[in-house]
Amino acid sequence: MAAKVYRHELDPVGFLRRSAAVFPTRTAVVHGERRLTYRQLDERSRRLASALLERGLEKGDRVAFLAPNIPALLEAHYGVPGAGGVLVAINTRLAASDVEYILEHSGARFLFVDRELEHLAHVDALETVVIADTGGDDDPYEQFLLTGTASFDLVPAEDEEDVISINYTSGTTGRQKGVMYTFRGAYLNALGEVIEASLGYGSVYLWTLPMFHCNGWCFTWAVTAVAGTHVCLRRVDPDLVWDALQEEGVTHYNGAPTVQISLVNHPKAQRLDREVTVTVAGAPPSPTLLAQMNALNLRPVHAYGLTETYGPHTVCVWHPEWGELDVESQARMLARQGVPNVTAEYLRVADGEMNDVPDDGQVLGEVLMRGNNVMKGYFENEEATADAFRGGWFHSGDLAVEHPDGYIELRDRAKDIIISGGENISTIEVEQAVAGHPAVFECAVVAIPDEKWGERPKAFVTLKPGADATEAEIIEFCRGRIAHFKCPAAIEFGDLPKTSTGKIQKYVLREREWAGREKRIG
Amino acid sequence: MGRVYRSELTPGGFLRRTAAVFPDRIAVVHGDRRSTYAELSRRVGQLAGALLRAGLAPGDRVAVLCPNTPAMLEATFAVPAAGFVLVPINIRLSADEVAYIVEHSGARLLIVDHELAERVPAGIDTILVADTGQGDDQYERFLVTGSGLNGLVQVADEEDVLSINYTSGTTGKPKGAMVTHRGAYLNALGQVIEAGLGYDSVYLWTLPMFHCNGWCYPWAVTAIGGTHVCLRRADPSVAWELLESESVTHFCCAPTVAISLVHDPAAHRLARPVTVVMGGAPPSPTLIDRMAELDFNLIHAYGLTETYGPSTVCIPQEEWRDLPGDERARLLARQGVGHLTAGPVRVEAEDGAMGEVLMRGNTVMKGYYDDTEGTAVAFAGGWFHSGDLAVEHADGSIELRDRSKDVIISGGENISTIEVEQTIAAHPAVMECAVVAIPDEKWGERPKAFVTLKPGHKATEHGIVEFCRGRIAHFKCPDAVEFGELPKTSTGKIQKYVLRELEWQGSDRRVN
Repeated sequence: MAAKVYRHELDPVGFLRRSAAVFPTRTAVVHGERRLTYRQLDERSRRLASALLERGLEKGDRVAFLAPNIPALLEAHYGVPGAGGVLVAINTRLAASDVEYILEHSGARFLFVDRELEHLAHVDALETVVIADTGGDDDPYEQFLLTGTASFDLVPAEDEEDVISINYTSGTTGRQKGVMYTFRGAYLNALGEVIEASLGYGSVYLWTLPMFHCNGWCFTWAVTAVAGTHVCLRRVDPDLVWDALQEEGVTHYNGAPTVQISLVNHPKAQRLDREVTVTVAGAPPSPTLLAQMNALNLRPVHAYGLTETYGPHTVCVWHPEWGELDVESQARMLARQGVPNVTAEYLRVADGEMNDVPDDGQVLGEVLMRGNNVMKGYFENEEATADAFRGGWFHSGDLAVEHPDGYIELRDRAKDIIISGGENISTIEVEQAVAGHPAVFECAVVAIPDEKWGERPKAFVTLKPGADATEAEIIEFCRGRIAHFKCPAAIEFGDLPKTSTGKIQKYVLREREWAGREKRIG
Repeated sequence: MGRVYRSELTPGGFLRRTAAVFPDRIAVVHGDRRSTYAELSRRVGQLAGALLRAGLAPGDRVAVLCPNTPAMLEATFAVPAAGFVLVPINIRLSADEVAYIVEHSGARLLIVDHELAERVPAGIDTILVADTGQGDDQYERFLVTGSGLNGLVQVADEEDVLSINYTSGTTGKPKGAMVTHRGAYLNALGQVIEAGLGYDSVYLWTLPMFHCNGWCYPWAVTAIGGTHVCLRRADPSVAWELLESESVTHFCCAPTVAISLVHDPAAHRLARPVTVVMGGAPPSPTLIDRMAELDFNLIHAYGLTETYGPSTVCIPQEEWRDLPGDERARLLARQGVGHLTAGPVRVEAEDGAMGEVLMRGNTVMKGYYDDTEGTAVAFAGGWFHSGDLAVEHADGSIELRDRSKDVIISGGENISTIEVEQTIAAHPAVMECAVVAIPDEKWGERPKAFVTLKPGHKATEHGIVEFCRGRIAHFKCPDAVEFGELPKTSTGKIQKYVLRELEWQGSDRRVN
């Protein structure tokens, strides 16, 4: 095929090539005391790629990484596709059996594993490289890099619709599925993130969001596109995060509401002298949380998406007029999932027959997406792919309403709706009401069976350290804010069960409440 | 049909999205007229519908001959949205040149501004734009015929041609550079990021929209819901007024426009910084200094019609801040590096020598319309040949030294006319200048300068030559200086070839 002069394949690896050429001496990576310039990041990625090829990596081979947010994992985002490999970044919070499943299912040929996580991966057949994360000569990963050459040219994408990475979903039920990302999708989503989060040539990005999670929502590539600085973080310790916010000149970070909650309630929390842009996603933030963030000069950008949409697909684009609303209303506007981001475009909320629901903010429908920001499919799982793509749209499994201004608002996961006396209750609405109580740290609401009403909401609540509240107080608090039938019938205090990515596992709570019954709805 | 994971890239999608997200935001300002994104989107849909109803076939060319008016912006969106190919025509061209483009492109319809009606060639259907926005405007009546029609056609292939942009071409007939949906989309996103456009941007239309589709800013500004401030002509005093009254945040222009802006009596330090993307020719250090004084944030870009407008951008480095002003200005006058979404840009030369600038990738034209030979020449060896000569610095940035034809070879030494020009431009009395080679018995060629002085300023030939001798190698200094107006192309580029022709009359060569 004769190359077209007017076309080059979209490839986010090219962002590193450009930033290394334009800003060779700029700091690309900060990791504790270690600093890498863009030239060094580029050279290390080239070494990684050529060392992999040296060991016999062939085009399309999967290369697994099991590591926290350290330089090696960032380098993998360039060195692996730059060698023609497919990156499989594995969730570090999984159990050993899950890791084993992913390694086997993806058919990974190489495994790079952080020393602290070695106990999770016992696969003898794999070529394994341990990452000591010291950057020193005794680090096996560094030794591996030295077998490569720094002048190796990273291989550009042959076809932009080829797979750049496979990301396994944490999946609340069933086996993990491998979501395939393309070079094209990753490139376009990265550009979309640059624009929506307003990243620029001076940005400093703090890695609170795991890179294994949707390739860090493509910020692994977006930050590099604008030659920003990646500040690594082995774990999201609020103490360390506040230090970095204050000492590294951080301008941006991302995270789920659970991460934000622990940050805003930390003793070190204090208003920053500059605005820090925080993209929040994973679950809708409560109005209370958004108000707390504003007070600290953390500007929230609320985004929504799934592993299947490269991370964020929508963003709640701010309207300047909202600045004139009272804080509570502002927060309510911003708690909505919003509109497709600038490079995502296609999204609908549709009923079971795939007809659009009215934009009345009332009628629930499933969120459907299509286009460049949707995965190529599930790896080696045609059945699941066909099911997810039925009718030519990706089915998110999330239920939302569309407001008259076109902004969508999630009301529930399909399974989390409570139907009580024929009335729908959104667990999220109840959760936000409960979260408004000053003593509440976080909460989850699930349906419990009820003789009379079929289902009733029950709240599981974690209180702030040192704070106090009773069941009756919280229920009363809700009755003052939402319809009485929506108020929890019961409150239970304690820690909430969470997935490895920090999502609250409502199904665990539900299972507990519905034990001994055949159905999980009433 | 259709892969769930793929949508065709088209900049038309930006309007659809922005109209949905910001229906009530001001999309277009034109004098006292204002329209929201909902209105812009509705009018674009109507125009698309009206074009479909006008009996055109898919892929037909629709030409527009308009200054930067709302109609021009609407056509930029509506023509491709309806499945037709946009042909924006330079409004400074003569009737003959317009006729050539209409004929060569095979345009079926011409949307023309009322001030330009006399340049319409015979035999083409026209829609006359009175630019009043009122019901008696023929353009408005035409829009009405599209009411209720869904004129928006899905883009079948992102590599389809969106527009044909004719180059002003210093020699020979104009050539039609074909722009694709994919290229326009990607170049627009690149512009958003490089120019730092955001959801609160207000863009002033000093750069003609007919020029490389306004460097893709109709789409870039719309992508982020910015406001387009229209301008029938780049009058410096009107521009100054709008900069303040409309809280403009960004505009694009060539150095000639910026020169007239900074020398305008209304020039003053801005209330807040305004980002200016400048291309078309390298800004002189003097201009760069003056713009910095007025708080313009200058982004120097470089490209051609064949590269969707800007292909490179000179990204300032932190270290430059600590350099003396003239040194910083010299760095900012470089053309820089390929912008974020551009493909590879390189100089065809070894070891820092001067060579031709070559480009390839998504923001290079698809080819010249109906000109296989011209396309093959331009794409020789799998790269687009810009015809511009540059050096590549150690940091990878390129610096233009000349158009291939504008190098002066004097006694075996190369002289960059740009270097001589920038030296002369630093003289306090000089407003602008051009340097060309003149034949010389002894040296083969020698530089001659053509100079326009600032109003009220004086300088002599001797004074300017002496000024240069204090700054650049003596052999590079002009042998002669002539004062007066400079000939310019319709897009405001100085026509050096006209000056060269004058000097080389009677010789059968233009180099010695």
